[in-house]
Amino acid sequence: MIGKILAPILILILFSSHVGSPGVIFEGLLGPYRVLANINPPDVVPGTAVVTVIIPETPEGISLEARPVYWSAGLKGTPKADPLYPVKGEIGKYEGELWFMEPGTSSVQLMMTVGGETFEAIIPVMAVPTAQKEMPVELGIILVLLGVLLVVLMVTIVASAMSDSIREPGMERTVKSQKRKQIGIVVGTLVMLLILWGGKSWWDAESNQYRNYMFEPLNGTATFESSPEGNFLHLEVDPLKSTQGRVTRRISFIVPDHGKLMHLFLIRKGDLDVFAHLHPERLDTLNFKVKLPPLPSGDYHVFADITRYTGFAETIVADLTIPETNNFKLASNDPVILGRDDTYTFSNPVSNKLITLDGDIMICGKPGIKTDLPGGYSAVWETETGKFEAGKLYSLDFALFDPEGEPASLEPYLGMMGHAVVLKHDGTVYIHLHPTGNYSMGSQQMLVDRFKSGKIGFSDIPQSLSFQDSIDRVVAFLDALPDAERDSLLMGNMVHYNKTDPGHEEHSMVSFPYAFPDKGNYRIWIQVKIDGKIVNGAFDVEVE
Amino acid sequence: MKTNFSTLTLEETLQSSETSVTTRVIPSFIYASVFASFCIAVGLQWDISWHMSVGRDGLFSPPHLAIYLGAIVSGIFSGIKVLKTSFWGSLQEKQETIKFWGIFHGSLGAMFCIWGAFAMLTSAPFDDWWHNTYGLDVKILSPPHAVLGLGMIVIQFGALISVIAVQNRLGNNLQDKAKTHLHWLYAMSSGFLLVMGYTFFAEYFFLSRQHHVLTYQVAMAALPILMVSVAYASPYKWGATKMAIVYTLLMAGMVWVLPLFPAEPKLSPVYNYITRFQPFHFPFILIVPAMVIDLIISKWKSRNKWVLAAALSLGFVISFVPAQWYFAELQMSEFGRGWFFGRYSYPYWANPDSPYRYIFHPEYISRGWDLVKGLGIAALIGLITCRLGLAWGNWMSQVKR
Repeated sequence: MIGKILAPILILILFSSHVGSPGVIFEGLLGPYRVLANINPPDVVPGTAVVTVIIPETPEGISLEARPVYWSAGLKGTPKADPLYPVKGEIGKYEGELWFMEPGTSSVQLMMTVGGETFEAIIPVMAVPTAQKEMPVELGIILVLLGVLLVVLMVTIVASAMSDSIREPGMERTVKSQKRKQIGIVVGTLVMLLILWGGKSWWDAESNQYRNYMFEPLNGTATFESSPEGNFLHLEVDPLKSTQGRVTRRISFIVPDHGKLMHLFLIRKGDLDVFAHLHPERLDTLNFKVKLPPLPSGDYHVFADITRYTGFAETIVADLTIPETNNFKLASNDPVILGRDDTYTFSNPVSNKLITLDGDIMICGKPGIKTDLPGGYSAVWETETGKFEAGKLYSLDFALFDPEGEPASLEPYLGMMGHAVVLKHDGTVYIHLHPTGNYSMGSQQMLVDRFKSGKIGFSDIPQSLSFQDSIDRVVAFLDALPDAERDSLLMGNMVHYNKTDPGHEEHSMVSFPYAFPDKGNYRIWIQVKIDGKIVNGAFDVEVE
Repeated sequence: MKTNFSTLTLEETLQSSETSVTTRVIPSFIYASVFASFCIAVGLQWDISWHMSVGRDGLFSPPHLAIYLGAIVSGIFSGIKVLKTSFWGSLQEKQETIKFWGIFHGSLGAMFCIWGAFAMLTSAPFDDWWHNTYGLDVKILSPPHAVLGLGMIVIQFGALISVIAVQNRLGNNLQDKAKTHLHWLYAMSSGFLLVMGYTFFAEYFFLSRQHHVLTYQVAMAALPILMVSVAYASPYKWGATKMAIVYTLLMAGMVWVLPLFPAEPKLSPVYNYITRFQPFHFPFILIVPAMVIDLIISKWKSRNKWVLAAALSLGFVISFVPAQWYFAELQMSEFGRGWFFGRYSYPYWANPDSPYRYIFHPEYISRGWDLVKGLGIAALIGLITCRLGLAWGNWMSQVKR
């Protein structure tokens, strides 16, 4: 390739398992070292991804390699890994480029060799084309000039071929040959115009074909349903229109992630003052339903995260309107009984206008400032500078304290030490984070299992309907288990690492690795479990 | 036909008056152009094999370098030749070339080569942008690849025109050794061009499709223009047959040589775990229709061109279709599995257990009336392309500058 032409990019706002946040971030242990990886997947497929790895302990004598492993091809169907090279001037940072040749569920297999031993991790990457680029003006000018030269020269050649080329050497042009030359100019021009027109139509057709092949996020229609049993959200997923990924993105292939088929987040638009994390039940392949907490009326963002058997994770996007009258009715009603993992919280509006919500209002914290949370708990977003830059990988560290002001003891919530949701104020960036990164852990599990099985291709995949039934049974079984048993099942093969930070107890802190994709104001909700209760916190940050 | 006759007479009178100056050797840029054409033909076959075996390439992958070498050699030699003649050439040299744009003097072949080199140059940034915008295309035909392909084919065509122009101008006044050289240069430049003509349409020429009429219709659309024109313009006997021999040797040679070298897929996903270079197609058995073309043209060259075209088209279809049909069957059979036909060849990204790997694809089999009708259409297409080939050949036989 002749360098990378930096084209103005029109990135689709909605992307894969995240909205507006294309990078995949991973944090975990590779052998003895804590490793942070940031994968910038290709926006055009086939294309290259940039893999950046940071090892904070900056060890020496290690070597890092990575390779793209497709769900469909497995480890055997993946070429030798490429080395990641140390970045000059930044100790402990490594970088490399990887080719992603096909759309579909893929992963980056990260391998670190320390003293003859190799440790590895599989990080899911959804390889999908998301960008339609335009040609930079300078390149356009160069191509037009070369094109004009080619057209003029070819017309000259055609005219010469018809007249001068067949003239005997030494003979002068005659009237007849002059005439033939003029005819040649006309013929050549017509032929070139025809070729240019044909080329233009072809180009347009290719461009349209590409547009059809680009990733389209799944949309859904969310409706508010009121009944004597309470208020419900009904989400109907639009069937997949794209011809791409008919198998990979089959909706009947949904598998539980952290024990839940769907993680649905409701955030009130504009003020971002209402936040709910719910887990809808599947009615049929495309329909999902969940009991709503007493939420105030208004327009809501609906983000529903799903993962499939094929490893393909994505976010279904919808809008929900909760009607005006509902608020009053709910306020007078008995407390709503939600699912045991479902939760909601109120915080101050981003516009700082007067708060008119019922229930505990939490004031959003800022980096570095201790903030009170509902239930007497408090949290500090620990940061060195309090400043965050777009595109830079950070560990967002939160320390939690109990009502006595002592470091709190965190318990697993849905199999993780914490969950976080990041939303840009304008709604263009949404992401669900875990301490392990921003990828779907369900997807990771599917990939690892698939690679272990040694299966390849799409010929041995299960039948949609029987698969859906068996998954429903697994979810019902998990739902029936007591918390402790379920958590031990869900956390079965997770690796825990101890941070050697003397200021905190082992589990009083939760960290989320993340790189904010662009500048602007963000709100972050963190969710942890303390003393068997789900505790929510919210923080605001301006990213420069 | 009359024009042709008068030209011949004219040539003889002219030659007799110029005997003193025309006993020269062949200009070096002719050798360079044919070498460039060779580089392009080999580079292209190699590049396709590279994409089937290694996958990952860059601007400077070895097959790309071979193709660029062709572009550079032909562009530079032709460019220098044109500049030299334009600014430092003698009057006689200028009189043997075409004056264009008021200042330049160049032979038509050189102009073709320069155009081809510029087209290839243009395609590079265009293709790079295309890959960054629509993804790296693994298919042969995309708009930037078409510009590149057009550039390559025009360079090859320029080489052929350069050879034929020298032949037309000095053929009979050359020394024996130079004559033999010119003879082979003609066979080679036309054969390399045929490799390119075949490869452009190779998507229709896969072995598994060779029992379907579309293969033969496309072949009749693409190949007679090249083969008939070369046979018609050839001052030597068996022009098309020699062209077909060069084509066959080059393509078959690539099938035999490439797998001698180890190759490892460098792009994911890999479904076919290969360790050697996978060659591209074994050539069509074009020697058969080429001999028929040569025979028909040597017998009926002066007949009405439409009648001649009809005879050529029929001769082509009648000889080529059965020959290739059974040749394909031979290659499909157990006998065809060895190294000779390269039948093991399969890209790393294809499923090696594909049910269609060793059979004619059931969707691409023509039988009965469909076959007869389809071949009739192929013959009609051939009538037009053979007629075009004759016109083209007639023109080529007159090119002198």
